[in-house]
Amino acid sequence: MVDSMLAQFLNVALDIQQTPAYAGIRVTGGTLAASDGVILVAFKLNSEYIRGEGMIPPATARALAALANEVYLEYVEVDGTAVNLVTREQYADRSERLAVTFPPFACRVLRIESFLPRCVPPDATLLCEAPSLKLVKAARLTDFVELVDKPVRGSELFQLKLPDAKTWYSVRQLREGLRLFRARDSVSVYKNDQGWLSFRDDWGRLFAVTPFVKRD
Amino acid sequence: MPSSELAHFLNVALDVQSAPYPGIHVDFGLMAASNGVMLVAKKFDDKVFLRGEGAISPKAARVLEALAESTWIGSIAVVGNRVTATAQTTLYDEHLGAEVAGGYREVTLPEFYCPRVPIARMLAVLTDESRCWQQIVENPRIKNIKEWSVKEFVALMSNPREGYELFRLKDIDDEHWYSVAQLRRGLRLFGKNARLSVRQNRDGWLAFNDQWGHTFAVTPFVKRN
Repeated sequence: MVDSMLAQFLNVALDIQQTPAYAGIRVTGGTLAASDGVILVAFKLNSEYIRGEGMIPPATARALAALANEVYLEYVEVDGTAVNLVTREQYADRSERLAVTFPPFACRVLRIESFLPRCVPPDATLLCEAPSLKLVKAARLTDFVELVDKPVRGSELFQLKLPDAKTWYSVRQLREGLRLFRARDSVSVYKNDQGWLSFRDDWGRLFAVTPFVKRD
Repeated sequence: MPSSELAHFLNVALDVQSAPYPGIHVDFGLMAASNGVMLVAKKFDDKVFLRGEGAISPKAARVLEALAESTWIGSIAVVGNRVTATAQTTLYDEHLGAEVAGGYREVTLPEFYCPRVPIARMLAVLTDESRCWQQIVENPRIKNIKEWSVKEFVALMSNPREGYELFRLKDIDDEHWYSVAQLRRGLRLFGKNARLSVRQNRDGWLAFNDQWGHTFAVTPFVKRN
């Protein structure tokens, strides 16, 4: 069975980490994380499946995403910027283990995991479970949205930004990160005291976005 | 530095290849893909760069494309369905304060089944004298192909000349005509500065070559009386 969730995460992460300052996907303790300094995506997996610590350079991440979409991966091991993985090759009468080694590429180590505690309790509080996010899809990319007063399950989480909003979010950034989740995924929304909004699902995926803040 | 040329060829080849000839086929320095109607090929002059014979499955080709998009590929060895590439590593030089190229490392891709096709024989058809191949024109304009709708069909100009349009929209009494969609997919192979040489055989097959060893061939739609 292929790991389409890993492939999808890597593809979203690759889109996000395009600025040179934030290139690469951070791996630590079974968690994959990528950021562009404004938004952050992370995927908590089993530490036996995603082993080691380091950075997956964009070059390797692209190849890994293509592989994860096609074959069953036994595990992925990151050592600095080198990535090794073990897969099973299927033949008609047998299956064989194959170790694939991707060479190390230059990639700056970014400790993105240090931002993760700010996106989950106790630093962040639960805002709403399974809200509707239709406005983000319907609005234009250039629009900005703010949270509704009392978001409830099944109702819209956002409304278009009003002139007196104190914190607001970019539709473009929200749409970029929310691609992480599938249509039927039930997402919990958290917010911290700095206005960071984070979306989490039951599969260990997380997307966090920082707000635009009104300066007086 | 990425292997842009290889990555681009793999991208076009992956788009073109489909049943009954899935995959990208390798025959000692030659890489080709076909769907039975179109064929794209690239001849690598360096025999060390592309070695062996076999078929790169679409799955392995996607991984190879991803690697080639990001780093320099030193060589590719294909044995049956087994693909091994050498990729150049990069490292950060503290003194220079910049990324520098490192050594080459071998990357062995998982083996995916892909039926093999005698691609060298298929390519030889494009130069087979018994099929009466004729040089039509050197370096024509093919701008119209980019502008017309992909649903359109086109035929060759009666006397194509260098620097002038090669195609016109199909007339009702044309014997051979071509799909804009197919032409556009195959002509993506050639770069902006490519100098195209166009040939046609008696059955209306069209073959485009450039100075870099790329070939694109397409079969025509034929009027049946």
